[in-house]
Amino acid sequence: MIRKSPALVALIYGFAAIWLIMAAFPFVFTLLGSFKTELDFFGSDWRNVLSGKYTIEREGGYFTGIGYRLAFVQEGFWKAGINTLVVTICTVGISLTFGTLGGYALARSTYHYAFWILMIALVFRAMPHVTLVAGYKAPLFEYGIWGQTWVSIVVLVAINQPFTIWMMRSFFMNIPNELDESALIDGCNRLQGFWYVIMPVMWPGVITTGLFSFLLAYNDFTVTSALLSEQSATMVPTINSYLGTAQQDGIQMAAVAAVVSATAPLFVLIMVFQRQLVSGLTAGAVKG
Amino acid sequence: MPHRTFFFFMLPSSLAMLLFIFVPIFSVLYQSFWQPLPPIMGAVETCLSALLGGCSIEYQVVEIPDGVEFVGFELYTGRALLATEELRAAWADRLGFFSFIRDGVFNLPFYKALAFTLFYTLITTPFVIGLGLIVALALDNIWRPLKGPAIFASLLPFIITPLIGSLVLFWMTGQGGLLYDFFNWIVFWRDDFSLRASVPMTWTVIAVYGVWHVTPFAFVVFYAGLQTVSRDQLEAAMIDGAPRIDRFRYVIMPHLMPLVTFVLLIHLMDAFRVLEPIFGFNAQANAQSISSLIYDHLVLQNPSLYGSAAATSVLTIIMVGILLTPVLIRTWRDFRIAIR
Repeated sequence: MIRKSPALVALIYGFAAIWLIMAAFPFVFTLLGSFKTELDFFGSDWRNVLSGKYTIEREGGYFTGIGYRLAFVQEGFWKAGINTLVVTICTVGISLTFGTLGGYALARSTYHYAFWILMIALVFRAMPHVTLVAGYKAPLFEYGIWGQTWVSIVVLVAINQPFTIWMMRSFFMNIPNELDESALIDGCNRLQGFWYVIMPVMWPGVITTGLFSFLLAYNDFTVTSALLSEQSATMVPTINSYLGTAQQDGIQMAAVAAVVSATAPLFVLIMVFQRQLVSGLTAGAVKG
Repeated sequence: MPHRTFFFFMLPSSLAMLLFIFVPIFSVLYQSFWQPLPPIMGAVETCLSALLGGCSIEYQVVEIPDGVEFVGFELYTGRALLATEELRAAWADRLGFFSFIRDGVFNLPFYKALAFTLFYTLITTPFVIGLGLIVALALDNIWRPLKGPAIFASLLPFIITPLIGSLVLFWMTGQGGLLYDFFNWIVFWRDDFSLRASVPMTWTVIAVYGVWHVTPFAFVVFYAGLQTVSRDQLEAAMIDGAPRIDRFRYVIMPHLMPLVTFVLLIHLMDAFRVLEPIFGFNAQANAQSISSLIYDHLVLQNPSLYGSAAATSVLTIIMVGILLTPVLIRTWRDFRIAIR
């Protein structure tokens, strides 16, 4: 390789540094700010978040848990956390089961209809979620099942499906067809072959797809905020509800603490599964 | 795979999509033709005090009836949506084309939302692809042990919940906030340059958020593409004496082109349904997207305006269909060639 000129090296590192600060600093700043008082975080000078001027003055320390106390003790944000846990686990479990079966069938079928199902799924994938919610909400009210957790789970599973079957299909395409055929020759039926021969080599794909199903359910705002009542609300709509009532004293800091709390699991997720996330983001791209 | 096996494997997934994506399309279509009955007005005699005899007859709502009526395409042509009457009136005023667009069209909620959505989609796309490419090239060339942490940090804006991401930025745009100070330092000739007050600034800030949010996705896709560039071709180009810029143009770029198309497709689909930043940036007064307009009718209005939410949804689905048609035609052509 030809060595890069010093100017080019400086340009590369300079640009990388600017980008990384842009990408990560806002989160670090908010994390630090969540341990401050409202006067520091929403005050007239952002430098107070770093110096902790009012926090030290009023609370007697550089850090204060006042925002977290408001969010978790007064506002009961932990309930939203539990709701999120239930919704995401159920959504991921069901969409992976459905998506694995469907993705496998689509990867192994050579008929025209498999192609058409994929195309229809692509159109479904492009539809704004809120247009679907417009379809559900009135009937759900009619039947009196609006606001229940399982309704949101079912809807999120359905919204997840187009994406899941596309991704699963692209992972199954990587597994050679000969593996299926040898299983069939050895006397397995399709389901046995799928379960005992294909699935054991498919787990990386399942984990990657599961991560994205998780993110879709966890990050969802449209479905959960429109279809869940106050008691069953997950974290994201709960945070949104804090914003509307921002005038009450101190509740803004509860929103900041809630935001940081909701970000923490994602932080851990990226740290643990960075490789799978990267492979998942590119799975669709490389094979088209 | 035999038809029967395919059917059973596909059944759960397609049933979920049929019931909860396909049927709702017809649900919105049906709902878009119905509207709650208008309130019944009537003359009511109200007497302030019998002694003074201050009785007056007022025309007011006497009853809000329960139920809906069939209104045909009225919701589509009404003021909340296509506003054909209002447009015709504005056009008849002969204000000239520019003021027709500014005062006539952009005062109507649906066109305003459509304008913002198109603005957001079209302005963010080139920046996302350009910035994603530059970041990928830069991070591909840094010292190897730094790459892992750099990718970790780069993924944050994309993976973290859109509502949270926009809030984190929004909180920095208030007076005295970090971004506020930064922009006021750049725009030094203006005092107190607010990032929240005016319509153009709100649109810009949300577009900046959009670029910040999606660039990591473009970056990761391009970065993965860079790992699979043929070393042989690069070396051959180097031996032939091609300078770095030419190697980029003639070897790397052609290799990345399919990935650019992929990022473009995904980003167009996602940008068209932009919703969370409108709420994260508390921007409903200055910016509405089509999704936030539907959301507003559906969730924020009390009672919910199911009819106009549904009619807007139908138009949105049609627009998404138009947006996707070239992609579908192209994929169909590729598929036909592939199976031949």
